[in-house]
Amino acid sequence: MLRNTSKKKIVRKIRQIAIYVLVLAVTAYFIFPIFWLIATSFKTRAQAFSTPPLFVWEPTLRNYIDIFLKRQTEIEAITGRELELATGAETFFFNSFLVTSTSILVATLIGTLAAYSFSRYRPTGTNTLMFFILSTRMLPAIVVAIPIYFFYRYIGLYNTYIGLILLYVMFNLPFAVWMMKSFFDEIPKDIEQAAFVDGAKPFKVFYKIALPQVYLGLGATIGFLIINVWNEFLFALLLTERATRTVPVMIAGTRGEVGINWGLIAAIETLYILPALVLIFILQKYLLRGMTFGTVRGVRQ
Amino acid sequence: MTHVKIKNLKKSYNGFEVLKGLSLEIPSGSIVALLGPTGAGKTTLLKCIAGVEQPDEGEIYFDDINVTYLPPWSRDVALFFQSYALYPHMSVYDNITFTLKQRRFDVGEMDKIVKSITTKLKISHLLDRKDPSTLSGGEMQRVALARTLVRRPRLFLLDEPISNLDAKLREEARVEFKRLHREFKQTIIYATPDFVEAFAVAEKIAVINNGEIIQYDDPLTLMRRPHNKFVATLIGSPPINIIRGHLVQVGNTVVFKSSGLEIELPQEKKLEMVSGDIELAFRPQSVRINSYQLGNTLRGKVLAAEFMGHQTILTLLVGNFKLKAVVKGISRHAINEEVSFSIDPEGIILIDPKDGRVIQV
Amino acid sequence: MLFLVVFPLIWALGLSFYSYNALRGQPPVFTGVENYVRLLNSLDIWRRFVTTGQFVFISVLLEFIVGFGLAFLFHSRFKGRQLAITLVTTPLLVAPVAVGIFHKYLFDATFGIYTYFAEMLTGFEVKFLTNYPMLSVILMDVWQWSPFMMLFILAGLEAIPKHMTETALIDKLSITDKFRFVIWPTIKPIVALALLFRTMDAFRTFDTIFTLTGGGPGTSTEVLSIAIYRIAFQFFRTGEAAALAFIFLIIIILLTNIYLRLARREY
Repeated sequence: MLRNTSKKKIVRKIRQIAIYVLVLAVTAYFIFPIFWLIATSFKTRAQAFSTPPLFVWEPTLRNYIDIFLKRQTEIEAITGRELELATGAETFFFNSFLVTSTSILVATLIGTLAAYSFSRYRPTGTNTLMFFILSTRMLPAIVVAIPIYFFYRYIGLYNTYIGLILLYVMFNLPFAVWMMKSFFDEIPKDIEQAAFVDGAKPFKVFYKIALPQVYLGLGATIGFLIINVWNEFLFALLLTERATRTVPVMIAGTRGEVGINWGLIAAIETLYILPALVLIFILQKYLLRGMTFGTVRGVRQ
Repeated sequence: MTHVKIKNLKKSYNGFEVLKGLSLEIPSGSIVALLGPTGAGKTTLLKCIAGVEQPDEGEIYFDDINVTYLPPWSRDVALFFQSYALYPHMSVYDNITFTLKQRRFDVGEMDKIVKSITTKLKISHLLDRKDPSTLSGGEMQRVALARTLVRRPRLFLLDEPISNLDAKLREEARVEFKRLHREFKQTIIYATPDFVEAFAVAEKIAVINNGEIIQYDDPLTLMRRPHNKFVATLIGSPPINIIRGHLVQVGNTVVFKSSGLEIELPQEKKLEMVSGDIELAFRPQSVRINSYQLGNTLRGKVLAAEFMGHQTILTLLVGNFKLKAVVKGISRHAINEEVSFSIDPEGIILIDPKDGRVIQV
Repeated sequence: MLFLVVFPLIWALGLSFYSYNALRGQPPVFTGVENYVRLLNSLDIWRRFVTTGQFVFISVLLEFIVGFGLAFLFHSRFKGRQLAITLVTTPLLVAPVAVGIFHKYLFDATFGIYTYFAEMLTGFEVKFLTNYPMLSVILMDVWQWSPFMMLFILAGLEAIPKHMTETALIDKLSITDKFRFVIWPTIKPIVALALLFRTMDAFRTFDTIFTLTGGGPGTSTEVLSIAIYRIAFQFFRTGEAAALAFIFLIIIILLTNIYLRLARREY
């Protein structure tokens, strides 16, 4: 009798260890590039170009400074001093922040309201609209990019904040509606009916009764949208110039350079990932749960 | 204290007609029960009266004012939901006071009302619970009840409000409802599938099935003079006995004949001869054991006897039929004993088997 | 609510705009279906289709397998699980552009650390970007998107009602049986959805490949989206680009419809 249980215990222990090993290995694999990225950001140009790659080195913060300031050694010929000029990179970061936050805000606001209407009032054609929304995900961005490029130049929205924000809202609104609607669909009708009988008017019911119940889904939706807009490249590339440029385009701009300063690029990318990381960390709880409900139910439609 | 009039209400869901032209009038200040099986349309009717569902056709009047298109938040009714419909993101206290907050009650007053209601329902210890889903079924029901009863609206609509409570609490709740009614002259519409509950609580009962009102009478009339087989079988415990047979004219009397038995139908009733199959029904309470009546005596064998405390239910084998009879106290008859009995002529009901209509009583 | 009607309209306007282009080319010259004909007859274009197809198929397949395994791994409870999940899903957060550019460094023939590892393991000289461009591109995609599949499948696994797993325990089902009868049927819809999403997204891949290889060397990794981009903005044959884009769109819609129909049949 005793022998049996101790054998089982050993098996279980082995299983536990195996799991831990696997988890470690797997996590390492996925984290490694990012880790290497962060590491590289602290290397000088020379260090980044060493063969074999350096695992131990003297770290430097120079790259981070270089994002925003550039050393110009030639300028002051008279005094031979090194000058540091601003690169204007702050603008790019600022633009990214501005565009992302505004478009997410607008898209979520309108999207949630619309989703609620679609969920509760089911205007005719709701189902077709939902399918239409799903099919918008099928569109390769490039397909609409061309006409929109011309359209924007024609209308004068080229290189404007409004233009870019409008675009992002337009493209993310359907997804926001789709997700939020499936969350609203989850709420049993009885609860809202009870609120009506209790004397609450529709808008009050919306934000006091319906909304609090979907806040998980709201978090998930916002999380997804942010990832989409923050990292978007193609439209930002086509529709902006220096004034409204966002960081992804800036990153891509470093692509073709000869004698690339990998340390600098790494620094830019690290800096850009940071807010996303922070945000996802906060929204972590919502994302996993939100996905469970939203997608599981969404399929059952 | 509202008089409610419902005219020809029709409502369909997804092509399925739930309410089929239903009309009903509920006098001001009365308790009326809506009695019917699940799916009969009780909930839909209540929801239409409350305003959370819109009928496809028909009208609803409160005190002669057409409220059919009035939104639910303006109708001043209270509705108890069969599903409780508690707000999952609010504490028990907030759940109960939500409706009061909508009507701008001040905090002190709300507190007082809540305290008194929850004490009566024995849930005052639950007030601080943040998550209603952690309550037991019975507790949830009581919270929902508290939420409904916390105001004095013009009309109370209760949809199976005490189904999940234990017998004792049910009794107390029923008493409380009647008190509400008496003291405040509240108009109450009470939906239930349980006829005992309906009988205990209501002054008048509207029997509803398949979206139509079958009969609308006080309990005694419903029992004595059901309009059709559905009502007759719905009401009564144990359920009414029904035998199929046919009528035969024998001289001056009409006799009911079925396999293995004959019952002479009372002359005074002036029963007309009906050809074809007919069903004869009588309640177990109408059976008189060991009483002999000319032409109306039957013999049966005792199959089973259930002692219920104040009465015994006997199952008798009569001819080919198993019939139930109710006897006061303990029955002294043994199993397999043969007994003679007769049926109280007042309790005989004839039913046309084709449409279930009661022909004669 | 009205907004929701207006925005797709603006969008549809944009779309109709371009069929405008497809017919007219630039400067507006009415060429009718000549663009389409030319495209569909071009061997080059067909090769792009094949490339795209290869990429999508292999990537999604690998991501599915890896994601599946990951989901099961993370379904069991262990200390630090939350943290591990968060870490594993970080690839999803990185801007595809950044991913592309940085993988250029990782795969770099001289300085790339992947190259270093590969050469250490195999002893051969490995030039990822020049000799194995498709592989590099696929590896990059798998790295970034396997966690996506994992998230979906994990969500599905977590959603399996407890009583089903308990019954399986009581009935002493073997592992294969448990999988076939309890797990698979429940997660099938989610897996289907995840596959759908990922495939649709894979077809649209642009940022990563564009920055990693730019479609090269040559045109070995030129996926359709990149092809369209080049035709439009490098050769300025906008009409043709628009036509190709349209063809692309139709193919995707067709494929999705077929997929959905297959999936619906299960119900």
